[in-house]
Amino acid sequence: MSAQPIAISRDRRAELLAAAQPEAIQQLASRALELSSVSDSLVVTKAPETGLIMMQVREPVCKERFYLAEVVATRAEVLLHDQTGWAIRMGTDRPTALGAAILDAICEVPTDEFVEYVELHRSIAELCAQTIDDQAEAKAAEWNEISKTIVNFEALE
Amino acid sequence: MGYSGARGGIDAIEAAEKLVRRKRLNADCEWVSPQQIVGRFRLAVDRVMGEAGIWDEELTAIAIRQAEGDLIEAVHLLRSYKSTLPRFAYSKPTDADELQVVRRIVPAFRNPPGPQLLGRTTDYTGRLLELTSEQAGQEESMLLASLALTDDQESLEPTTSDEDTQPRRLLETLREMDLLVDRRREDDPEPFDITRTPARPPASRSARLSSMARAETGALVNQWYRNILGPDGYLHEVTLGEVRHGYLALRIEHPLTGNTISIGTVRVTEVEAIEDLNGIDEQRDRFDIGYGLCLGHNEKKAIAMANLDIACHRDAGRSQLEQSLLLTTDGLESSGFLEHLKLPHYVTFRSMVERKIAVRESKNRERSS
Repeated sequence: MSAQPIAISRDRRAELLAAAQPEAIQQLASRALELSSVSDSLVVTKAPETGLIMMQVREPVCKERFYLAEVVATRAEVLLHDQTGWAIRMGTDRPTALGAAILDAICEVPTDEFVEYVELHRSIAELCAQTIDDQAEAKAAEWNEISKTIVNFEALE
Repeated sequence: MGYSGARGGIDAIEAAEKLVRRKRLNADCEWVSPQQIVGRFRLAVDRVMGEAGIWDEELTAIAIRQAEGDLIEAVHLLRSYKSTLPRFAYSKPTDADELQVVRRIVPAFRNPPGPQLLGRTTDYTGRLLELTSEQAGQEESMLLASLALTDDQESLEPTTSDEDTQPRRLLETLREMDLLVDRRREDDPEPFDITRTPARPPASRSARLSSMARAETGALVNQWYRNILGPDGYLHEVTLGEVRHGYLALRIEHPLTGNTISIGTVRVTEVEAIEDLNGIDEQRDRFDIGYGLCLGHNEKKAIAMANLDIACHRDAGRSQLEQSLLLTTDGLESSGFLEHLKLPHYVTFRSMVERKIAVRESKNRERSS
């Protein structure tokens, strides 16, 4: 991972942990669980659960809302040193949802009380930064392909 | 078997089911992974997700594989699975104007706001069955992969202004030209949830849009064709304003902060159909717009939906169009009814035979008297 760590809000962190690579989340969560202060104190308050989110869209003609379809998602919640960690990800990947909730909780634990979490905080911030870079790169790569298909048809008068 | 009017046959039924399973799992060819199905049959996956009313490409691929390619059966499997899952939340409304396009064409207007972006399409080229050998196909695949790698190493063009990926709609141009009936609502009614209550006529527009977004593609296209050219007799000019394919953000409330967060995107197809108003009670100096939006890349469905949306609005319950849309376009319902005809109907048919014989005997008695 090469991205520089960044300071982000809890909301933005949840968005990025929802999008980050599953392997990266699971590796970081496993690393965290090697610390006894994590593994001894961690309580899974809501085991990973797969469910549905009904997607609501506002259409442009009458500006009315309607329900488009349901999206499969998996969420989890943990408690670590009185701090709640929560995560949700689209799909059915329960280990990654649990891993993301653990990382969220770790970020909420103050490092002045648990100095061993400083390095983890930095790695999670790096993961978030990397995810932003990955998203931007994927978007640029996709645009690079499709921008060649911009067309100006000539109208026959 | 629990079907009324017949019982027994458990051994044969189980043997038949095992036969299906064994032939499917032990087919004389390589195993197909869900990733292969998503990668190679993306339009089938998109279609099934739309008709099942569920976004998850991997689960859909598994369903298509289990259904041996029967797409309506795959919809059945997914709807059944869906019924076992809890509903976490209704998402925050996503404005369709936020759609990040990867394809966008405006058939009605040569120079719309934003680009005409063909994207991934063969609409403008001839399509012939490719009878190349498997080896030649695989060689071409490897060549394309190596070229893509070279492309990746080239510097990527800086993306994309919002004007490119979120272009303004043609309908906004038409509004500015005062050529559009203004149907924008201020009251923001709660949407109708067709997964909780079946929609019945007269239904709200949100119920119609949800029903069409989940309808069977072929049924919707057929309904559109019947409406445009068939016995319904609404022959009129059809012009499309926007055809878009792209990403829409899914947003929910973070349970701990109470703020709205985006947890990912779904791909959708969106269409606007321009309607030339010509009714005696209509604003004949303006156009109106029909709207279609469905999961995945499914332009046939979104085009049919947009045209039927405005057709239903203009019809205002005068014909059976809304009833047809709401009650006959769900693929699972129609095929479920159809498929049940294969189950034993011995008792039903025996009573029909008895009635025929009774009628004949009655006629014979009349003749002889």
